[in-house]
Amino acid sequence: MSKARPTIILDTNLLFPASTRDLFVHLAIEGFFELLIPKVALEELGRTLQASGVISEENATLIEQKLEAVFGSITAPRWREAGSYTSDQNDWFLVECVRSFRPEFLVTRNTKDFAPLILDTRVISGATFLRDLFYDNRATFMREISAIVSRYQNPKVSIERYIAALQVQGFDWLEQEPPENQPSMS
Amino acid sequence: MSTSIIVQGPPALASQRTVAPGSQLRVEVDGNKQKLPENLERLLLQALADYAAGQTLTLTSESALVTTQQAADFIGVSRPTLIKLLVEHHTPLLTTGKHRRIRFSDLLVLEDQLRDKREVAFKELIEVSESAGLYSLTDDVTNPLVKG
Repeated sequence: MSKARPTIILDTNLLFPASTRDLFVHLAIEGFFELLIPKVALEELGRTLQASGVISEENATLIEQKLEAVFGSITAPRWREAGSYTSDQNDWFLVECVRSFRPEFLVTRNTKDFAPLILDTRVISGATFLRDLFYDNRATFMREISAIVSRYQNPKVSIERYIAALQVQGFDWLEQEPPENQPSMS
Repeated sequence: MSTSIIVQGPPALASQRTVAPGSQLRVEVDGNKQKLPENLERLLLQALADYAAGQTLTLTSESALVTTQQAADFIGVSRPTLIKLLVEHHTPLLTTGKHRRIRFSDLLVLEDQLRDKREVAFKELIEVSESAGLYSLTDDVTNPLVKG
């Protein structure tokens, strides 16, 4: 009965830029993994973007609300041992969500701020997670990229530009051939 | 009773993990060949091809009852989340003795409803992001969420 897909908790720092955020949201809608977004991450996203002047308060709130409408959000009770797994107190909420929801992966840009393993959950970067997920099926990944790009209307975005944006975000493997003999995530 | 399912056709492709296009299915029950309806044969060949490609298959009657855990796994959410979704979408939850069950056909409807709801919400998210000019900001330098 299981569709055998991994569950991930996504850190705030992958919810921006919009290109990276959309990649994870789209792939989750298509069923490649279950996406869990902490409520605290959504609030942090809106607050930080607004404070940095990237977008207005109104748009920050709207984005927070719309993003929550896609997959909902998760919350977790405080856990006094959270500090054993991260050097940053502001990231305790992620550890607490991991403890409550036991995903296969915690996906973050700041892997260095966490222990490699939180309970049974592996801490991994977004680029590495997707590289491993699609390591033997790059064609499927590219098909999904094409589908994401087709969602953009104003302005329209080319596949090449979108991939270039992802490469800036650390998805270097998009310009490489799939490695051989690499263990599959699935 | 013995049942054999034999795929006849061109050799599988190089990876040996595929069912070659143009294959035919031969089904024998106790040595007697069974003629399958064309659409069922096509369905089974597709299922075999998916299985050969390493995908997980589930063969379930639409009238079958599944447990809440099976339903949660199928939808891809935790069990508490599933219960919340069932209530929100008015999906019938059947009680058999002490156990709660969901009709598989109702689960498929719920899956479609969830997908539609997510698609609409994602479309709106993109529209808001487009109007806020977020797709021109793709550089890490502009990402205040990345720590130095």
